[in-house]
Amino acid sequence: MPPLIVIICIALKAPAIPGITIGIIAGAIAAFIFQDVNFGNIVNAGYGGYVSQSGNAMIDGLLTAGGLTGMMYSISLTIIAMMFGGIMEKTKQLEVLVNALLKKVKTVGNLVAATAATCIASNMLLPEQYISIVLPGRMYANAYRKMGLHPKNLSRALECAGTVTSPLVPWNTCGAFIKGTLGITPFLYDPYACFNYLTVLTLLVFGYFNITMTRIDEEPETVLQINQLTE
Amino acid sequence: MGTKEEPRPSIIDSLVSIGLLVIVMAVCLAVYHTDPHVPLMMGSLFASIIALKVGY
Repeated sequence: MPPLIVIICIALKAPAIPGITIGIIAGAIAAFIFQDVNFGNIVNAGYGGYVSQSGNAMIDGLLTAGGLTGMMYSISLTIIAMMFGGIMEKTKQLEVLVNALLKKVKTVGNLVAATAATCIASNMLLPEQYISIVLPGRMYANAYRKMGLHPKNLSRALECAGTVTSPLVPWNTCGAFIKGTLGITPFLYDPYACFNYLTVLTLLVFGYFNITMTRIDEEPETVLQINQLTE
Repeated sequence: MGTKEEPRPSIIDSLVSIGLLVIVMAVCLAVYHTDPHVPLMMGSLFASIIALKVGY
């Protein structure tokens, strides 16, 4: 029932937070009625997630998940990355770097290419996927705004260049995870990871040929102002 | 009454911040196989020290 409710909320285009919250409440009610658990267990599952005790290690590994602690690794890393980005931004260290990088960037295509190059370099130099998304995001946010580009273009550039290139780098945490899980080094599967290359290539083609590069004035109501972000 | 001008770091200052972060991340992740959280916090500390040196 809870997944169905979430799917209905998505179909009705309900905002994400109320939609997920309704799903959580439905899950808690279902657990209370059908699984005969008490309120304390539901609250604990909300924090620590579900712990499977089937006796089969593989099934337990698959089913033990969720809760606030389950997401804390990525959330805390994102907060710390934002902390680093915030210090660099407020003390103008980021601005100095971006200005140097953007001296030759005059077109939308070049800006997209610069974003992609920064994401890939971040994945190689700061070997953590989340940092290679958050840091270039903060670096280029104003540049996109100044060029009149909707922030979703930056979001797409970060996803296309930051997310998908991280598993190609053996010393990146994504590459290391795959090596640890599958036992093969990224150098072995890199030549066949066409999706990871083609996504970056598609991003560049779209950027240089101005395909689906939405302008702020096309969807002004969907763009938050800086003062709204800092409130 | 004039407003106090904010200090401006040089490109070298910025590169030192990024460079120190790269070094500490590389050493911790590649050599000691640690999680990236604490090295990233150390990078933030280095960036703060550079900011203090610049005049913030």
